[in-house]
Amino acid sequence: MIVILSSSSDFSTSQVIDWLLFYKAGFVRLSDEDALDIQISLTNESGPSDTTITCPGKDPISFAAINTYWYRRGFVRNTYSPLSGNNPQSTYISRFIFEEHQAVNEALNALFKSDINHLGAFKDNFLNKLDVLNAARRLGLQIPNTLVTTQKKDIESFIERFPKCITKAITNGFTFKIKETTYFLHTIALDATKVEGFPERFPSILVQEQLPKKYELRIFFLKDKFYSSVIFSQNDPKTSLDFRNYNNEKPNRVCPFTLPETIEQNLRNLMQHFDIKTGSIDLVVTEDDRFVFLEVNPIGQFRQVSNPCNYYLEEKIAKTLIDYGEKTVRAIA
Amino acid sequence: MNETQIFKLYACCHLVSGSTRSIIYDLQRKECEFIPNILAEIIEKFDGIKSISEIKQFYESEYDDTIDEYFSFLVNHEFIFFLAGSENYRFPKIDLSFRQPGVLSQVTIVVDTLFDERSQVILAEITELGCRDIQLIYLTATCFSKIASDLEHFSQSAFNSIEIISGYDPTLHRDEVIKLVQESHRISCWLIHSAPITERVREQHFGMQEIIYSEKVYDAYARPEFTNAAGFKLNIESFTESHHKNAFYNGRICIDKKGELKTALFNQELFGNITENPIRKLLEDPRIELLWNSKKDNTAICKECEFRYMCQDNRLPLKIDEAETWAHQVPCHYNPYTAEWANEEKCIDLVLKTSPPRTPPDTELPK
Ligand code: SF4
Repeated sequence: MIVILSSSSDFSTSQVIDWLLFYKAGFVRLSDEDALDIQISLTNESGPSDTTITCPGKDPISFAAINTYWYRRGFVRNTYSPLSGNNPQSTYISRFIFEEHQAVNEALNALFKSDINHLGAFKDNFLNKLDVLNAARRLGLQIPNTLVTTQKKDIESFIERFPKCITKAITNGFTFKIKETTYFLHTIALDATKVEGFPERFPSILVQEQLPKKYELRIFFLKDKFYSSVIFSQNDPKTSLDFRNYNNEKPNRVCPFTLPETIEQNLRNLMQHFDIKTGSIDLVVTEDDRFVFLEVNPIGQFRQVSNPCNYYLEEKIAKTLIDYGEKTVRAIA
Repeated sequence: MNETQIFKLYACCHLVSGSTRSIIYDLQRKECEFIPNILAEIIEKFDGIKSISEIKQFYESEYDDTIDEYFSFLVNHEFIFFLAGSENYRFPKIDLSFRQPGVLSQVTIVVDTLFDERSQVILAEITELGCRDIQLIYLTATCFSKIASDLEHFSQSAFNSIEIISGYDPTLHRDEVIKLVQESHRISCWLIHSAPITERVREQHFGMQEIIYSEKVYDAYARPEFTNAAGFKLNIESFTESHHKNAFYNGRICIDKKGELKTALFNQELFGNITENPIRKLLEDPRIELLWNSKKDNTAICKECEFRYMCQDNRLPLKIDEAETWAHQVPCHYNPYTAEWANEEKCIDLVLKTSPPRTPPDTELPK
């Protein structure tokens, strides 16, 4: 059986599931909205651990019955929150419970990983952008010149070298909703005038040179294959900085793309380095035709690559999961 | 305009030539533009190979003005871009294969006593066959509570969209109908015909859902004829499907009130009864597959029509030889040899309206 962990609203997961149904593969979809009970039992007996996931209203899933695991996005929610009120201890204890629960999520993924073929992993959420950039650089990929600092004077000298810069979150940023408005962090342009207003010192921020783009690439990586799309965002001032600033009336042109072989090989090495089996990769092709690596997002959306390029990635993911299930060989007790 | 670099048609823009003119299908923006066949030929011949100045030279500078005019049109509509010759390999064409995770895509059910008795079985069968879009037709005036209770069968289902057609009943109060549609995101459209008023209800929070009250009497057994391009579909799914299948019939079946399986409610031919055989078995009838595969490229006249990969023609084609060649007995309202619709003098300025995509756009927010 295939176990899928995904957020309940993820439409792409539903599309993959349509293909699993088509190929008559057994699966169970767990979402971050399900109140799941997890039982992990580790004993001295050899063989896989005895792990059971119970979702109210569904049959308990025993570890022994699972042969493939797809971590799409989200996490197993902590449904037990016994603390309320404003006493000073509760914050610390809540935090402790959260961290304990996080450790269970990690353990679950580690257990799955050691015995079952899996696509995606919970740990992929914690990929560090700077670590990835550094590895990319060392593996022969070009990256945008990057600075992380807490001091204005550093940014000033960086901007002197690269007059057009951007700043974005080092982590995954934030998304929150207050009343009807959703707030989330975008990439913002930075220049000398803007920096002038900065205080001398501030919390760590990431600054990168803004690359003169010919076009952007959004690449979906699955096993060791790349499915690339090119986004012509430079035609449109609204999206030229960050193509996620969608222009709905006149969407950017998105077409299939063939990567040069050397770039593919470098990216493959990078994915191997971080043990990532699937994800979305962003690259920029500069006006002087350099391929510059920006970032990898292991849980990124793939519909926006799959649909315009007619790649049928949803079917390819389903087939990969089925194929993994057939290949899972368990440790024999 | 960039005269010296090679021009390239964006892969999401497709040329489709007909007998008298061509269309650029913009599958991404879901728009299209008519172009003369000569321009289609120029694009086809030189796409990814020559620059504008080289094309002018090719025609020995005889048509420079026309070429300029053509190419500014292409640039203004963002159909083409310019690149260096060494980049050409990076921009492959879109693979036009068509795949669907199921045998059925759309099922029409005439809701009658048979459905009331067997709804669970029917819905389970068609779900298993991959159907995600369903149309429920109530032949007579039907009260609100009956429809609301039928919809309960779908609350835990895998269906993406439900279209309802029902006759007007005084219990179908506007407010209650709106509330029900709001609660069930699966309802894509609800047509209430033979109503005392005609009104299209579109609430802002409806998204793509809509409710239509219509004074017209709806005859479910009459074949709806298209007299213009308004019902055509312009998107990558329908475009690729039309290259391999009959875009109207493929994956579509209808279950009539007594359980007879048909290819569409308005067709006469019966393919067995679902009370006697499972639907999967009935679909093994070779006539069904043959019809589903009757693509426009193999259909007389249509194969020379520039609308052939967006057309939703619902006429039943006739197989005229062993080589899967098809033809129609009833003529189409459009004549691809004169580029005229029977009911219009000229159709040059025809504005195509295409239906919005079914699936929600993927707006990616940063995590
Ligand atoms: S049915 Fe009419 S509009 Fe459609 S492809 Fe055939 S000729 Fe063209």
